[in-house]
Amino acid sequence: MTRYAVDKILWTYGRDPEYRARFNDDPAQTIAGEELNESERSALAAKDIRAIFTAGAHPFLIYSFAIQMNGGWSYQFMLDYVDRLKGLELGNIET
Amino acid sequence: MARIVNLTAIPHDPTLPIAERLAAQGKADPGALPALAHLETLRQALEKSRPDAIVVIGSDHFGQWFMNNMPTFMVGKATRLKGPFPAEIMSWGLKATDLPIEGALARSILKGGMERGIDFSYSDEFIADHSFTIPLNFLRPQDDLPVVPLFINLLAPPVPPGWRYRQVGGLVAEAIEADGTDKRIAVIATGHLSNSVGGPGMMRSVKEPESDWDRMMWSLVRENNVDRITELSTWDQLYAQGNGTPGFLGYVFAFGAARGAPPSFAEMVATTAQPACAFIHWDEAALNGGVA
Repeated sequence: MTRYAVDKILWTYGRDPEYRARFNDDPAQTIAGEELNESERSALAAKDIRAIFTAGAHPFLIYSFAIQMNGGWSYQFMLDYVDRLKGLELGNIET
Repeated sequence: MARIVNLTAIPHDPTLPIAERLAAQGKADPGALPALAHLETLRQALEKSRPDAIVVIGSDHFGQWFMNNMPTFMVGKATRLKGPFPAEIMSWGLKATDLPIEGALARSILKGGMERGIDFSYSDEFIADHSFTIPLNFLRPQDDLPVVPLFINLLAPPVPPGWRYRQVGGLVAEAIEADGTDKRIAVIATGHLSNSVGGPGMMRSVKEPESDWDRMMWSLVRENNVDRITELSTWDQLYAQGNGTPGFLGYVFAFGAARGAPPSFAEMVATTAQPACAFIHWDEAALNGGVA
């Protein structure tokens, strides 16, 4: 299932500074070789938290990814993050 | 025969040590103070129980275990428990922890668990994340006891249904008691009530600190209705209450280790300071049919 690749990208982004720098610079190129469906690929390339959530990525990994992308956590960041997920329902996240 | 002299189930919310630091300066959110008070009560209870070692049950939060090889139940049997991850220390100001692991007890739990039907994974190289170190830091700040870490998967589905967490809790308790020593063992488990870290419901606890589910589950805890608690503790039912709520399975494990004994202490804290959290404790008498 390609959902695993989405989670792996989010996980790697959080752990590997070199990968994070490449992804920040050119996400589409960084994930070009990954096995992803089109909606997953476009969500990640656009760093679109809402679309990544809708694709079924693990919420804990999305949150960690968003915190890293933000350069750290703040209360306002958390409010903005939740606002981006407004109205969404939890779905299946098994890989 | 080793004796379980203390069983405690508490949260591992990283805002709690932050609140503890702020409380020392008189600056903590008042909503965090009841949680800190319960942790102090349970620290004293653990001290009073005079344990020789602590078995601590936590869950990795993708710090190391991932879906390339995800253990459900794992015994950590390295020589030291080290943690949490540097990023956790940096983000939340957590205390670095480095404790000896009671290797003989870890192997008794591993092998005794296997003999009783738990197909444990095991690891000789790992980091114990905040879910291990925060409970240990609160309940045994002296860092003077050896520990045994058990990793249980509370985060990455699929996970077994609640009955298995309960059963494994009971079997681990049996394996501890059958380890052939006369040691006094404390067991610390950790988990969540309703919780939505990283999900769309993450700010719900600020508007509504105590959900209907929290109230319902807590009334079952007060009744010690472990059968019903267990029936309601499948991934799907818990996840529907917030994506972090399957963390409640850590409490189900503790009820399993108690093997039907009613808790001697049970308090829920639901304020806007942190997601609802549960403090449950069985003292030596509660665990051993009234005999301390």
